[in-house]
Amino acid sequence: MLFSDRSRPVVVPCLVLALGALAWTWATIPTATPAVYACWRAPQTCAGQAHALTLVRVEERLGSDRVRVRSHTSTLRVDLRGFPAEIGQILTLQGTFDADGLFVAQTVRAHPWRPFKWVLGLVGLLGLGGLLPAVFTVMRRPEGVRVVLRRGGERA
Amino acid sequence: MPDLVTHLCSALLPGVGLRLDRAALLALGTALPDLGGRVPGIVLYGLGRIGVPVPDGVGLAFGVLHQPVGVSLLAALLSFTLPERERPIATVALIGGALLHLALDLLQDHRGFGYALLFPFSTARYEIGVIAPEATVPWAPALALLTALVWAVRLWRARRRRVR
Repeated sequence: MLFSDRSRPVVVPCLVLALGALAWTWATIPTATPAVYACWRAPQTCAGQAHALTLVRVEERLGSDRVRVRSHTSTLRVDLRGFPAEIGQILTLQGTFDADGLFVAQTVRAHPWRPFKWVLGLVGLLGLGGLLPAVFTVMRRPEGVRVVLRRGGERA
Repeated sequence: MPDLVTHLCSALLPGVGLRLDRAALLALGTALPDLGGRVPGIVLYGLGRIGVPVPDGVGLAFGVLHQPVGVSLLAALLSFTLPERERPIATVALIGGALLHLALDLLQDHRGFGYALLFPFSTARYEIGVIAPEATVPWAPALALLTALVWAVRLWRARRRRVR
């Protein structure tokens, strides 16, 4: 009944509304946003706090140990404490913010496969593109014409 | 997240015994959390970088599609694009694939960052943390080849049976 054509005019708007409400709630309640997001925006306010920065990209070298890293939202200054990072490298860092908003890393993990991952993503999308016709052609068989054969081959 | 190829293979390999359309839906389900929850954020970020004004938090809102409740609602919504009699099974297959995706993601170690699996009932974040986020990537090409081989054999056998 829930998935019937008769219920569709009610169920589809309800699903859209439910999804909208869920998304709005998620985007607006402060507890849903990890505290580290606030630190990206105002790092000085997070002095002394320990955080993990996952999958950040090294954008620019600021000194022998210091770099600027980027996440999806903004950039941060990071002290890598001697880790030999290259521009463009993807890192996951664990450390603490100091009073100047500098993130001092205690552990650094590099992800060397990132460019390859994008190639895999493209291959995956091609595979997905290949699957869609299977869904939409096989499942769009005309309804109402169903021939059932009994044992012996006669039509039911 | 493990890569898209690994996610697709995680459905297509065990789904080799299923009907083609069911297996395709299961595989589509494994891609759904990233397609719904990650791709819009990446697109919005890209638009922001070229100067398009993107309101703060819009990209974040799509995150609910990378959670069990949000992706289940999306699966139910997508099933309405299919014929009536296929909708319940399509919803089950899409949700099954999406849960498989989230289970794989849960294995990763994001240093305690985790996933809000119980939202909107709780905002607590969970992760099992036994593999690095990129750990599946070196295995993906071999996994893709194995999946292609298994499905080629299955389709070849099905065709041979039809010809007989």
